[in-house]
Amino acid sequence: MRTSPFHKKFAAHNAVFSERFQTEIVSRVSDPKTEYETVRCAAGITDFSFMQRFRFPEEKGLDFLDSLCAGNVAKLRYGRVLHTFLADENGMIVADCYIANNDEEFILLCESIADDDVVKQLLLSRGAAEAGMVDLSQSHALLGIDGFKAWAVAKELFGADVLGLPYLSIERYEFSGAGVSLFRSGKTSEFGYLLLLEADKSDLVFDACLASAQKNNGGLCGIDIHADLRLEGRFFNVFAEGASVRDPLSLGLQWMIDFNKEQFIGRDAIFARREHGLEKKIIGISAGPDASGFTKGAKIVNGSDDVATIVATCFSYTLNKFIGLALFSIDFAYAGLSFRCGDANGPVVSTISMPPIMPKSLTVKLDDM
Amino acid sequence: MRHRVVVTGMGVIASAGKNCDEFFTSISNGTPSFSAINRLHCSHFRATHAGFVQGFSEESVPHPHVLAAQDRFVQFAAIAAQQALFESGISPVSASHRMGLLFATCSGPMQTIERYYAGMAGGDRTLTKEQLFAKRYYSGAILLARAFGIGGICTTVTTACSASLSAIGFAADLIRLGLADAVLAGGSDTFSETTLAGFDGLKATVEGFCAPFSKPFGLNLGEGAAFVVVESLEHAQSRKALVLAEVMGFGLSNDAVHCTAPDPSGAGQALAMERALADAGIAASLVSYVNAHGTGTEANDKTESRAIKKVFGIAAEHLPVSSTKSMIGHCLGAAGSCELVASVLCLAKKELPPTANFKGGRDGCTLDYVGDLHRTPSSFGPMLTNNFAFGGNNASMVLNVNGPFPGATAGSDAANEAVITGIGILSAAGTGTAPFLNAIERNRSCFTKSSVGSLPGEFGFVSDFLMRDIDRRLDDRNMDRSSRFALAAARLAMIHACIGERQSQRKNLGLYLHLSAGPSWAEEEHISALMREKFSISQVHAFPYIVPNSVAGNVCKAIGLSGHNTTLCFGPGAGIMGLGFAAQAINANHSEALISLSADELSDRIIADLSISGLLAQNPYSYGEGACGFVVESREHAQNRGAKILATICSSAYSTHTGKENDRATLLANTIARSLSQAKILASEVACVCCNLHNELEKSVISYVMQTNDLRRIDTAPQLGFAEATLPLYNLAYSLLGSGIEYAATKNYILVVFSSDYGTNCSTVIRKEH
Amino acid sequence: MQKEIGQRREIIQTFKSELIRRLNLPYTPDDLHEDVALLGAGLGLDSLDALEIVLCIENSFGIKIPDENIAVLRSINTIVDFVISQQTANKEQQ
Repeated sequence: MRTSPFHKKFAAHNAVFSERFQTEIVSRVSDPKTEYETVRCAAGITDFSFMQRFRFPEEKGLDFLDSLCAGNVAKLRYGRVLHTFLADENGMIVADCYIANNDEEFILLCESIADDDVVKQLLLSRGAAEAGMVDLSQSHALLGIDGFKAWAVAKELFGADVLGLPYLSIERYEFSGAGVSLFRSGKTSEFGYLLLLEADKSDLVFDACLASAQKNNGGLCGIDIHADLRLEGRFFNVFAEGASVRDPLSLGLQWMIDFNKEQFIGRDAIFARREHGLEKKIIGISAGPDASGFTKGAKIVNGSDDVATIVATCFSYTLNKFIGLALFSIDFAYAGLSFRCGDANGPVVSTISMPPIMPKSLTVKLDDM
Repeated sequence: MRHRVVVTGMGVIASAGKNCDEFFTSISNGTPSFSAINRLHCSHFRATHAGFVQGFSEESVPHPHVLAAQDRFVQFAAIAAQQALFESGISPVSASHRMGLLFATCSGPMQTIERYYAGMAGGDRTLTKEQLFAKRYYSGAILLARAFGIGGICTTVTTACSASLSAIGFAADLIRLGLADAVLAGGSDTFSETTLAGFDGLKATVEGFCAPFSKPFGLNLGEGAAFVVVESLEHAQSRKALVLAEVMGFGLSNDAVHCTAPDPSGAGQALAMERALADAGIAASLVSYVNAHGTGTEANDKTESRAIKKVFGIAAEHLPVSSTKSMIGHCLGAAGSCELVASVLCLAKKELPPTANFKGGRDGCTLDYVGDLHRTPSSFGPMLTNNFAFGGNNASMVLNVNGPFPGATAGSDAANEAVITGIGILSAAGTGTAPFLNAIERNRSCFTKSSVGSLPGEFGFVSDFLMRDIDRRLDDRNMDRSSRFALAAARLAMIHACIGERQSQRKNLGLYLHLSAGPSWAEEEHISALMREKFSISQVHAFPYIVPNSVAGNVCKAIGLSGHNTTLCFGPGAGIMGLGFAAQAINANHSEALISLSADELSDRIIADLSISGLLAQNPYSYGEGACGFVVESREHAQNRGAKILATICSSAYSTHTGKENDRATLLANTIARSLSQAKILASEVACVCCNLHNELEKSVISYVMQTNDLRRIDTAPQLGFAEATLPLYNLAYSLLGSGIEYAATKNYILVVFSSDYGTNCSTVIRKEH
Repeated sequence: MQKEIGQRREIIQTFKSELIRRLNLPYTPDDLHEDVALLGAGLGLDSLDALEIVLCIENSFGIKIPDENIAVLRSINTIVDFVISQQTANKEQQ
């Protein structure tokens, strides 16, 4: 198991740790409701070091990454980040990826639903060594700042210029002599940043982030709450619906794919499925006041017919009810309909447009700050 | 030796007044001069008011024998130009080729263009040669030059809302470098319903009166013209002319982000301001007033305030910043010059131009916007003025009002030599240099028939090509043909020059785009749609691409070029006329490296117009399209990075036939002779001349001046077609890269001559390096 | 249920094909999941595209989107929800 470089820091706050795909993750630091509000209203500091991370020199890295991932890396502009995925030969998702063009280099960050080393081995088997790949998992740490006030933390650490960073961009900063690559990314639909830090300086930056977050009424978070936040904000979570469904087309991830690209892993399979037409699709669902049986794996029925399976659920503190995602047969894959959970007499389940909440961060413009 | 540049004459006609006195009074009193838009098709727009010129009468247009029946935008320009010339006391006819004209416009001859589309919608497809000329963006400048007898350089700056400020900046460069004794520079635009529809569709307009930096959001359109006369300080002093202001420096940049919206971080705008300050050689802290672009839109005012804070830091807190558009509206191509004139007039009377309708700053706008009237500035240092445009074109200028700046003068005396280090070619022969050289060397004609109706004849069309074969990192999705051509040529030139290989190295790399006819798809789509739908707005994506600088904007965005950049519509011969201009940018130290390029497109519309007007039948050659780019650098920059220097741009001489002087042949001969003497060479040192073999005037004059018929002449039109803007660059490219031309140590110069049918001439001397 | 599905599907199809045409998107209608973010994340369309989308809705359904209502433009589903709610309101008024 690859341990977290922030283990001690989080342990000091009584964090609960666990293991996922052979990486150590910080599951929780406080209770779900507190962590939820930390992100939705303030700033949450989360350990993202479980992500795989690699660096490639620009020239060879470009061709290499472009030949593997579904998105177009060649047209990624300097200072921008591409959100795409890595699939296997069957066109099934293996990892949710951020690829950043840092000019002389590309940085690849992966959330993988395969064991920790699998992505690296996959890349090596495809020629990563020749492409000059450097594994950053030991030399660097990844810290996330997410929340309605995340920008305030970033601004305090790196200066007001961060407010000008567009979503999905990368910028190099220095903090106390430590080089930091700051990603403006984030999957909670509040403002979000990922900090790629040199491991030996990571404690310094951690302390500064936490202090600043606390000043803004925030604090530490585990990774579990991010699953709920992502679902609420309808951001793809490879660990939830990604792991259950695997097919990027049914998951609605066509926007991560450049269909004009001639080569990427799994292209043929994906094209064949696209040609054939979707048979199932992920749709958002909402439970009623009676949420019994509203769990992952449960069936959704229309009369006596099965029409869907629930693949992810969470409790939305904003809406004060349970919401989720279900894999629907294509004929019923529409929002605004009512079904039953479990069987024809089960509680009502409705299909909804996602995301069902309006995050605070979308109501303000960063450049007004 | 770098001359100091001063303003000795100004003229203006806008909603606030038809001359400087009226204009000043209205501005000083903070009176918005908007009136209701009572136009037939405009009642459903959000915009209700605009800054119309009041009480315009045809009788007030000078030189009626040239200008009486012309488009209003030329007439406005003439009125303002006459005032400026009168105040300066300079006679253009006496100045001859030592006086230039830099005309700026955003929409150009809109009345003529709208009439043309209205005619088409009504089934009328007549078009005379004169009407075709009148429809072109460059026609205004040439008509004005003819009317006033301005015999030197003549060009139209078409960088939309920043055009006239850029024009005055370029005029300053001509003076600094000693290339002209005086230059008339400024801009003009008329109100047009189709332009209003465009801005209204973008939701940029305001109902009622605009309130820059305050509320409500949105702009008012304005119309009018303003021109200034600039000359060197010594020249003004020797004439005992009154110095109204000194142009201390100017800076340009490109956001390279979006076709209409500014880069929200304000980085591009800040860059233009910083470059202006550096060019002026003063610290930001010396600036005592900023005349903002201040349109009143949500995007601009916030971004501009942010950019000003970036540049001025703490000093921004006490820096007065005001928007003249609050009173005269957004005069588009005339905005820069109108606002400059307003600033100079007010500061001369020791008061700051106010921002009208200011009721406290909106979110993100926390500076001092001078909402009060008749405020005396607390200091009388230099001022800064900004104008920002579609296509990411940012311009900024530093001026000292009421006389020359009393402090230390700016800039080094060293004039940087401009050299050519790379060439990129896209032509009817194919993509790149190889097919081009092959076609010329083997005399292979690359013509095909047009798909337009049953048109006779053939054309040098560019065949389909894939941008990814040139550079797969370029995103040309949804790009129009002109932009694709320009992008291809620019990138190929960069690759040939081995410059800007890293995306991060392109921040200071500039782009000069030189056009003749320019792109036409957007104008057609926008205007035809409006006429079809009774002016109800059904789409918005075409309007931002009507302005010619949208092509340059596309190129800058795709490649990531934020350097010194502009778009100039010279008309035929633009490519070589513009190369001299690009060299000036290097000589004047604005840029260390830029791409100078031209592009031509033979769209169905353009071909149809050529056919109907009779130009197709009249010309003995076929028309062609394509693009050609040159990387132009300072010699020092090229040497420092170990670049291979292909050639040096030694001199460029320009003239315009205005009918008030010598016959055309003598004029052209003098122009060529001037270019040779400026380059300090003899005719015998010229190895070859690039010219139009079908142009009898050029042929005979060249023979006469060069005193030989044996000189190797290069004209690629027989193989590639006559690409109006690009042909001279194709010819020059061949002279530098092709085989079979005999160069020697004492015979290594190339002469490029272009004489357009409209009377504009250019002669450029290039030295080929071994 | 089939009636509701039919109504929604028709609006979705009309809107998607118009959107693809106007913005020249490199996708087929089936490629566009109805929950994908249109602006910023997801499809990454910009402010100019947003204006086109508003005109697209006006022209396809005769429904005006109020200027401040950016929430409506978040996804195809939110737009369809808005169109349906406006159409229902209009019917009730008649």
